[in-house]
Amino acid sequence: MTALAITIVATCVALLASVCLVLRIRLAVTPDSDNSQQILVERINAVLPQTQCGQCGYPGCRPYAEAIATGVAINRCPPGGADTITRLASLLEQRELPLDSRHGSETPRKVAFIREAECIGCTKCIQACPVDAIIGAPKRMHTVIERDCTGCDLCVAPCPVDCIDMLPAPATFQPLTWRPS
Amino acid sequence: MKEFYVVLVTISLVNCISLSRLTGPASWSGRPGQWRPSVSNPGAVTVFTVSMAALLVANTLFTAGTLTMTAMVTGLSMPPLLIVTLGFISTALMLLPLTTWIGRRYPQPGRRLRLLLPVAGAECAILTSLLILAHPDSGLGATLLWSLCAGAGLILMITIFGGLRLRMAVSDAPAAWRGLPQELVTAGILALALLSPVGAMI
Repeated sequence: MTALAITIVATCVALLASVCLVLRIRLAVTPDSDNSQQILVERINAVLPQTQCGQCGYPGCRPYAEAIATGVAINRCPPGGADTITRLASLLEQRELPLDSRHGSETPRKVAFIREAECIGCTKCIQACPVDAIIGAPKRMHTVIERDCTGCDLCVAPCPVDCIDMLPAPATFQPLTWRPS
Repeated sequence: MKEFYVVLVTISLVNCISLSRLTGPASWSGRPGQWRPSVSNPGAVTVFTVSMAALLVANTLFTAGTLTMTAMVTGLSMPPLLIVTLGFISTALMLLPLTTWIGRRYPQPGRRLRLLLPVAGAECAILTSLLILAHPDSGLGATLLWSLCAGAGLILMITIFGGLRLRMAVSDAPAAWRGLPQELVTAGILALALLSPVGAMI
């Protein structure tokens, strides 16, 4: 009886092991983990505007680049607009699509501006900024480093006193866009 | 059952602390500035919690199923050591495809959870063994129901702690109190609140 019980348990474990190993091997050999995929992701990422705004539904430009490489639509980037869609379409040899309005609309480049007299120094905008373009300290006035601001709007919603304006960027404005090395 | 409950609460709280140290308050969602759990774009904590709950249920299904089948065919009940060993073996096997799948499907949370998922697997193995040992005479269905409740409890616990930590992150606390001390005290108070029913069970 004991031998029979051990056989049953061993058979169940062997069955589970075979199922898990087959799944693991199938997942590992599917081709999208190879180097060419990584190179493609880098090239897509270089086209994206690096605002890190999250409007596409992904946490930043690189995650969206990874998603595009796996087949997600190329028209979810409002800051990049039609120009980025055209460049992505030519890179990926896809048809150009109009910007998906569910993710926002294309607007001229903007820069955040803090009305410093009204700022209470709560640091919430500093925590929300994805590119560290806001400086300040608790209960001290904050300000925006204009050159680093990508105009992503993420600092506007957390501000409890609504003292952040999104102003149109000057025509000569050259943002210092972060690029991966 | 009392022991199982105490272990479940303890494991949940330890996970809450370790997760909050590892991932920060906003990791329910992968999107910056938004902390709510997101299905399409989950953060590390969401992936970890759901994986752990799923692993607990799957592991209980396999271990309890194997034991029930053995008992039905041979009429023998397994010794506790064998049940624990079976729990650990099945969790280790289930972790193999799970970690690979998470690494591919959610690359960012996957990288952050590379070391934490095996720990979650070990915790699941302990919980499964305890669950089966706490109810040696109950059937497969009842054990599965208990594991589902335990998984739901785990998710609830980590959600509550995530919400509390989010509030703590913006609270105006003294400098020496911020961060880990505040979290440990919160975990202590939560433990007192959650373990109070154990007194009623005695």
